[in-house]
Amino acid sequence: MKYDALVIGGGVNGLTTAACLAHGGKKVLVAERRATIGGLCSTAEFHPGFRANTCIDDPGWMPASVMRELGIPLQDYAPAFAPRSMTIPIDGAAPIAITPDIAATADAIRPHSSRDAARWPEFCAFIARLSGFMETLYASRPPAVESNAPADLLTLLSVGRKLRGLGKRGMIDVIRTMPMPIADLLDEWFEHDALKGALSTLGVLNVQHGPQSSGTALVFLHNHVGLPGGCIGGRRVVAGGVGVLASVLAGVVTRAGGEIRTNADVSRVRVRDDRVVGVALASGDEIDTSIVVSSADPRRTFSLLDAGDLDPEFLRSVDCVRMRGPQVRMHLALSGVPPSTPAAMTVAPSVSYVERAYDAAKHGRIAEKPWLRVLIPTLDDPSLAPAGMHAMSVHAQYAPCRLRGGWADEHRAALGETIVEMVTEHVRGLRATILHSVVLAPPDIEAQYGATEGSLLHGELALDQFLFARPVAQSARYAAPVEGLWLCGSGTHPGAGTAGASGRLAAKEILARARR
Amino acid sequence: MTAHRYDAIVIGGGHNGLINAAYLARAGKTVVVLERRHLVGGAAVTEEIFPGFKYSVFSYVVSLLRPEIIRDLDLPRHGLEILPLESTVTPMLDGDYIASWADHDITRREIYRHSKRDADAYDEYNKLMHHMAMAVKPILAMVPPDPTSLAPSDLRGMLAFAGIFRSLPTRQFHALYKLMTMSAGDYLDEWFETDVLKATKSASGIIGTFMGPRTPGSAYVLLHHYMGEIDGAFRAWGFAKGGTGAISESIASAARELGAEIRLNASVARILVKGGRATGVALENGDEFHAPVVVTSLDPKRSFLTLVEQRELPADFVEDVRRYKIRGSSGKVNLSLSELPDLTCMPGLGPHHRGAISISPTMEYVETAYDDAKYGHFSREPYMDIIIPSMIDPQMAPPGKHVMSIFVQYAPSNITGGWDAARREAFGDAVVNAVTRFAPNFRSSILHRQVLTPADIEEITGLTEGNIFQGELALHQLFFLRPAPGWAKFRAPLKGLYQCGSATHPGGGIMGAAGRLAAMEILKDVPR
Repeated sequence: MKYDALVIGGGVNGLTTAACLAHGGKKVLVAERRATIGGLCSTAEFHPGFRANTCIDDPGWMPASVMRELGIPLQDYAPAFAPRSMTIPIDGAAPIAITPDIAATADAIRPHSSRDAARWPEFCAFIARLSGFMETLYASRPPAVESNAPADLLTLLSVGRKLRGLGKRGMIDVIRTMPMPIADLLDEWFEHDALKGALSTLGVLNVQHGPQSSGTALVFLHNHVGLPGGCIGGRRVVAGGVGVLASVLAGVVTRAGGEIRTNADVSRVRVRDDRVVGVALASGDEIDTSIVVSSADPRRTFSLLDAGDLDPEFLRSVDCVRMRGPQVRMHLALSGVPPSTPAAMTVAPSVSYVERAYDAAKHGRIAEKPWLRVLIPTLDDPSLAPAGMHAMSVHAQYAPCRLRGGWADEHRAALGETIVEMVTEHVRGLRATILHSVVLAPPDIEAQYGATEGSLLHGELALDQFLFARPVAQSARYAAPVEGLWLCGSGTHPGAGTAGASGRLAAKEILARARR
Repeated sequence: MTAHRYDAIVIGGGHNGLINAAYLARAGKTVVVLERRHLVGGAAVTEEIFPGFKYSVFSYVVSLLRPEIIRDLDLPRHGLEILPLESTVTPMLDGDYIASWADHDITRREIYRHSKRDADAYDEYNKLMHHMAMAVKPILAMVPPDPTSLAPSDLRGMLAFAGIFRSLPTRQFHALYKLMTMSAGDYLDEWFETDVLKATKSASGIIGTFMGPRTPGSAYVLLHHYMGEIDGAFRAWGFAKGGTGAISESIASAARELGAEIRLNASVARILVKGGRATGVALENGDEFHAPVVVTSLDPKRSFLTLVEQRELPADFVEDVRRYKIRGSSGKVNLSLSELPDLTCMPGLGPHHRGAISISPTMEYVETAYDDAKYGHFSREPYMDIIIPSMIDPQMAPPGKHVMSIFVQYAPSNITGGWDAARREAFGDAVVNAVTRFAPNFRSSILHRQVLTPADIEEITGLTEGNIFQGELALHQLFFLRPAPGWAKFRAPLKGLYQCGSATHPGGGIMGAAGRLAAMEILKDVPR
């Protein structure tokens, strides 16, 4: 069987690329290793009748223009913003509810700090301005800063113009803020420990850095790209779970004539005379194609080639891409939750609490006191559990993939116990309602989803792995240094947290190259 | 009350202030330097703290002093003599060590002993770092352009700045970008596998900063190490004959010869402002000095939050200065010794006594030292950079005796509970214990001990939070953001007021570039 293009991986980016290529007239096959599509953005049953967003709680930002481009009708996919973004428990006082309503949030902060409440609206506007600039960066391929080709200079100029559009102060804010530690940025705005602690987690979500690490302000901004102004820590809720997005995209692919094959594990990319000629599956089947697009992470992608097919220097830089999944996911099937339990709660009492949790991971240990993001998606979408019952998903950091001495079952059990104990402090009687629970450590995420080191971002988001340096400088613009091989996963610009943005930009490059 | 009139007044007689004054005097200006203490030098002073024992009290090595300054001011004629400090020995916890020597091949063999792979990588690493340091060097001699301005001079500056990066081969460009943004630990992980090699190298990436080897941004300081080497001035870290104070004295002597006046024990209380411009300064004793140009070499917090009335400055600027991070992170212990430390890993007297001894046995050791400081404690087991100046310049101590300089990190300026005598001594004890672990005779060899916490350094030198760099060398505080966005060109938002300290580009170390660049800018503004 011969295809124009084969896409490795049926996650959101792989499917988006396939959809765009199919729209562009290519005969496309998506090869998914697992029995179901969706990859890290999946919703799966983890206990009879209970479904959870396995790895990622939010499918991320998909611009309306992309929806139109792919022909996705709004009724098929319409994520809504949760009415409550995050609830911050406060010792011995009423919790702070952060909502998309700026004035209401300021009111909620006021009893704890009138100074912080007063600054909240300005902070929201500041973040919206900066993440808005990043949004424009994310709409096109990364500029090639070192190139003198006219097209690249034009891209650079247009980035420069957008930056200039922010005005003098705005420009300085962008240049100054991105490399900052989120801890310093929050200190400049706020005084309340618990507020700063909870907000700081948005600067370290899924990365093995602490809030005092430079560049975590960038992560914070990244996590706000595509959110409406003021929606700090905003969450998109998709009816039926985040996995719905993959099914919708799969529909687009098949309607456009593409094919999706599950249980199709690509074990090797075949190269002849420095050109891709096809792939081999673990089953032994071979598929011929001159274009292979990988949505797997960069480390995994290049492990599918013979080392002899790649320049050693390039391989070395791929090996140096930092993955470092720092998070544990725990899903709990609950017979019920007490009334007025928040749908989203962040347990991170202070910035130094979060920093201490990071210290453990830095030294190869599991945090004794991790910070937690506790979600009960069934409060927003009851369809995910049997009537009256609930599913809870906890995101805990930090638990390093490269644990000293390696991961064992007792580590998972102990972490699960820590999490339950911590959550019980905020959700009365939790333990008695637990019907079932699962803990997914970074190596489990690697084993099940193929994400190297369990990195949900397919590579840490940091200044040195950003924009023209993502995943590595030599193939930041989707083309790998082997003719016919492309990257389209979230390891590329702009990456995780932007639904299909990488996949779409990669497809554009591929189609542009084909036209030439 | 007496009043004096000059073309320019320089506040602070540290190396940058003196260099600034020398260049202004060289251009024919009448200049006075006002120094609060009884000697010039600021953080670059030599003092006989205990009879017969001379210490480079604060700054203790030099590598970055700009060669054009040495040439322009003819410093060797004024007594500047740099003695090379060529080796570094890093004792390990298991009794072994890793050393680097002046001779590249010997160093390579030493690394080979630990890892064949690292010995191979070492050559390539050196070559690349050398190239990058060469490429970046022009930035040190550049007045930072304002990226938000469309003025022709700023656009030209930005183009020149961008040109430096764009002229690099692609591979080096990306390596440089990584160096600017990564942590020293992660950067070194890409090259080497030997933990102690990475530990000792990364330690040079954290000196004077409140960062650990795993904090992104710390890799950039690794380059500084190479900058000093390539200029050919000393090729390596050096020690000034007579201590670092001798450097300041030589600059002061050059400045005086060029006509500058230097007044000691002259503590500036405030900067005089009339009609929106700086017109002079008033001393603590009431004396006034008048000049159309006032240059401050102090850090921006001291200059703009204490010496100038707040209402004279734009609120935005004051806010930027307030949030400028200084964060003192290091202390200094100066000792007199009855005998040399006998290192367990290298017993007896050896050439290593004429070089640096780095207490950075593992990456985890250094990172853990940082962890302590993050939560407001001094490091229980600190990272230390030790030299024995009397082994390089015998005049620093009486015959048969020695002085030792220990740079210690971390000692946070904002230690929980504040610094007091008890904490100072506990800190000193931690240092002695940590050294004794690697040299058992050390504790009993101590004759005198001077422990300097960041609070002491601030008290003596006036440097806010005792930070020798006058502010964290973090990405968001470099180049056109240093010390405040829009005010990186050595001027201040008050006509006639200029800055020339380490808080301006290109930052800390005994480099002098800021003092010289500021003088050039001032001379552009005032008629010759």
